[in-house]
Amino acid sequence: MNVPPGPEFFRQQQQAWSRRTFLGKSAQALGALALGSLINPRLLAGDAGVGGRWSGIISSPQFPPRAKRVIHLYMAGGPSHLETFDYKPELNRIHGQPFPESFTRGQQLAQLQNTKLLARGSSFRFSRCGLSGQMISDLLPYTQQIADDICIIRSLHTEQINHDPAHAFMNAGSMIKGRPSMGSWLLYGLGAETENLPGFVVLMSRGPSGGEQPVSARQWSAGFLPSRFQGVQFQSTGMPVHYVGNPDGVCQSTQRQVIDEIARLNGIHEEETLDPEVQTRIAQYELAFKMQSSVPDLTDLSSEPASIREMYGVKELGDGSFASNCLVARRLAERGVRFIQLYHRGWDQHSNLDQDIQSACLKVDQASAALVQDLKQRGMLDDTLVLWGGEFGRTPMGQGTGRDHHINAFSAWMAGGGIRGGLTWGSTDDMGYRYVDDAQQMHVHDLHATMLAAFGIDHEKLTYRFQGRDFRLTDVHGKVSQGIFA
Amino acid sequence: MHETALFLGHFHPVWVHLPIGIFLLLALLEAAALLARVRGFGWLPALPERQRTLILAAGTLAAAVAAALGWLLSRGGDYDPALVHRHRLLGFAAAAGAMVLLAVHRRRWLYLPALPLFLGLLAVASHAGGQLTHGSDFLTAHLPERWRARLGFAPAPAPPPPADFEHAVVFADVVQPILAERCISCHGSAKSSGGLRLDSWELLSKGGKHGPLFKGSDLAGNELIRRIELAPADKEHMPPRGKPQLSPDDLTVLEWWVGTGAQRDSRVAAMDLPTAVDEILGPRLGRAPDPVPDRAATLAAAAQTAASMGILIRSMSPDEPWLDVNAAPAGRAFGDLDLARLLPLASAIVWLDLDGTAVTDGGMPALESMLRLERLHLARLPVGDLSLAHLSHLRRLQYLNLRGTKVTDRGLPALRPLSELRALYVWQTAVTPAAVKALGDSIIDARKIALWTAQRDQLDQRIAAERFEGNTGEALRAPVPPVASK
Repeated sequence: MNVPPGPEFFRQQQQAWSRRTFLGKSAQALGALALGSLINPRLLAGDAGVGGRWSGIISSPQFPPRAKRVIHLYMAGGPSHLETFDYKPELNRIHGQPFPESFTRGQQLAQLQNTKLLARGSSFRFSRCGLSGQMISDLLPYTQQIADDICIIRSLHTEQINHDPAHAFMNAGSMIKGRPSMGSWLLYGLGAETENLPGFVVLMSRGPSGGEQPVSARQWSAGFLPSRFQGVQFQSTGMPVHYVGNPDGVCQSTQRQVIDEIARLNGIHEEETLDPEVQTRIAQYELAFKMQSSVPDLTDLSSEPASIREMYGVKELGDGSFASNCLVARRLAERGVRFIQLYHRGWDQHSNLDQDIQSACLKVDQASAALVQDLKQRGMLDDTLVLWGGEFGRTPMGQGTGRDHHINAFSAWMAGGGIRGGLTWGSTDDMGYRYVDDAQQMHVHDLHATMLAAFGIDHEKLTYRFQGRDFRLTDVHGKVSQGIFA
Repeated sequence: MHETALFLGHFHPVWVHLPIGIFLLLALLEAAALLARVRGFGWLPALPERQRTLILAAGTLAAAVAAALGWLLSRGGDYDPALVHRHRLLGFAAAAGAMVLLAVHRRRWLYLPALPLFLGLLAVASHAGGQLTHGSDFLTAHLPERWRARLGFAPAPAPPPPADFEHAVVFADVVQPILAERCISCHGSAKSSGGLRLDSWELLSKGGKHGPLFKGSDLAGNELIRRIELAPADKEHMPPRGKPQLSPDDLTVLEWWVGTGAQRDSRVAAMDLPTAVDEILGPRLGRAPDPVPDRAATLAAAAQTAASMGILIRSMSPDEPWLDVNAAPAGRAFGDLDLARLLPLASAIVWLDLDGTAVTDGGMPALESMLRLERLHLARLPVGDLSLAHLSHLRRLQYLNLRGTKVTDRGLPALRPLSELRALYVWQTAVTPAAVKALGDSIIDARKIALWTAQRDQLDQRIAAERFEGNTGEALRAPVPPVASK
């Protein structure tokens, strides 16, 4: 019935906007407006206009900035610090003997609760490496070669003893659901340096190892921040984004028209509701359109020379291995992505530690070191902060042939982004059981504060008002470890 | 014996105030007693004979002790011999005068005129002592000019007008003012500790009792620099603990002067100043500093420029106008003309990233006015050796990325004036390691590294000397045996 609308139609429309509808709509709109301005005045101020660039809430840094992007090599499962970066000869000495009770009395343990605790030394040798003489396990021969570029942190400690909450704690500084992850905070604070790719990208290694703990997508969620700041997971095999190409018969100009029309319609909807999430939707459509050309370019690893592929140890391009992901991570960094997170599972060695940790190290060691060296030769390590580490450590007490989860001490390393290479930061007691509580201790909150400081951000100033309270990544904690910067 | 004598002698400057105080008190009491005879002042106390005897005896004894201590000090102190001789004569005379006074005090007609005479002698003797420690004009140095003329003093020597940058001589106009401010009070005409005087070129180059200060331009063998750089707690540190210390800027200037061979007549303008020294000497020699643009105006202009050109410009500081300009997002759309359009912001740009843009050799002259540049990315630009000549004025440059450019060995010498340059990236260019090393050798002051290495070795030697085997807690509490001396 293709009758052009006559006067009758408009009368109906006017009636449709009854008093009740009008009041209802108005209240909703005002509510959304009020909520929006509570959330963040700049979300309404047009800075993030339709499909526009988000340049971040921080207009000028509080400290001198050093870093521009983060590559987080996330060793999910909890790598044992005692086999990798924390050399404990005293623990080796009492190997097999009862673990001194003075360490463990009244302490929370995961699966070792109410069992007989025996000390377990490390089966692997440690070497002094580089000019700095940092102690690194022989399990990581490639990492040993970059000893002078990395800062090993031995005094990390966390609060959550099981994988999922501990991942949440490492990512968002809280185990509570709905908190933004650090990548989202950084994107909210600074925006990204590209409009063609998401500012926060997640990749997960794939490979035949099995028995890996799952990592939930909430680890890169934007929480209560507008969802345009959430991490976007790329597929690590095949095309990183599904259906990124146009279907047959649709050309790029048609696609452009479709996107523009959808943006117009969404814009009308946004004027009615003033919901910032509509903004997100418009931005996502625009981003997706741009990714139709940027993503194929990103994943075209054939442009990488063989020497680079060999350096990372990539066997087959785009095979989803950690090595391949590291190479993609560097390409993402080159293209201006702010926060890149590479998950590699396979560090949860409750049993069969000696064999399994060897295979885990074999999979990540070469590529991690190659990434640092590649960034360095490109002159990108000066402003790229690389973080290598997991969500917690492992007990110095044995659990059969393995080790249990451990929150009182674990190790990680950082490189680039103004971090002082060749430095060993913090220490643990003789057993590697607990961090030494001095100026170099580093709680996860302190790690977050320090990482933000590398971007010139005072972690106490990067806040977001939600449900009547100003939230921040470090909650009410966090101390910047100034000494870690060169 | 000599040690003990010198130890006691150093109590002279303290003890000497005791007899002076006693005799001043005596003078006050005598004056009161005399005045008490005048009508209306009968309430003032008389001075009984026995009290007078007691006070005089105490004062005489104290004066004798002071004279003895002074004699001990005069044998070992590092003072101007003529001044010491005068003070010694006057001091002994004063002590003798006190004894005479004690002998005659019962004969009133002799005692009353003798007392003021004696006080006069005491004043002259004390002043001679004061001149020894504080310099010969310590009382009148800060006499206001109008009093000076009225009292018949010669007008104070006007401070020489600070030489302007063009004509300043390094030693006379830069080094000597530093020495005069911090060193001359102990190493000057009145007092020459360690037999060292720094108040003229001849005396300074002669050195002190430990030998000459300089061995050519060798920083490590330079006693002046070594003493200043020692830890403040060290016994040999200069200036001694508690005295006003040299500022880090002073030290930088002295190190540079010694490093250039410690010449007397070299002119500042004729020398190749490292940036750090240049920035210190500029203001001291009255040169106008580099202009600092207005922050608000700069940021407003920056926002407009960024929006119109599709590049990223971020503020780098909460209270300074400094900018981080990233043209990489604009990619090939950003060319030489666009670079020239950044000129209004030139004096505020600290970081500049042109990686992957279409800028060519023709755009390079625009960089010349960016005097604040610290980080410069020229990676992957089709620029060659000629471009580097445009960078030689960027004296604050610390980071230069020339990866994948057409630069060769022939261009690198143009970078020699960049004394702050610490990171140079030339991967994927024709530049050879030998050329990079040659550039590094010309930029980095190897003598400073040698100095620090020597200091570290020295420290290691001292630690080794103080370390002993079997170092248990017991031994640490035992007295350390003194190091055998010849």
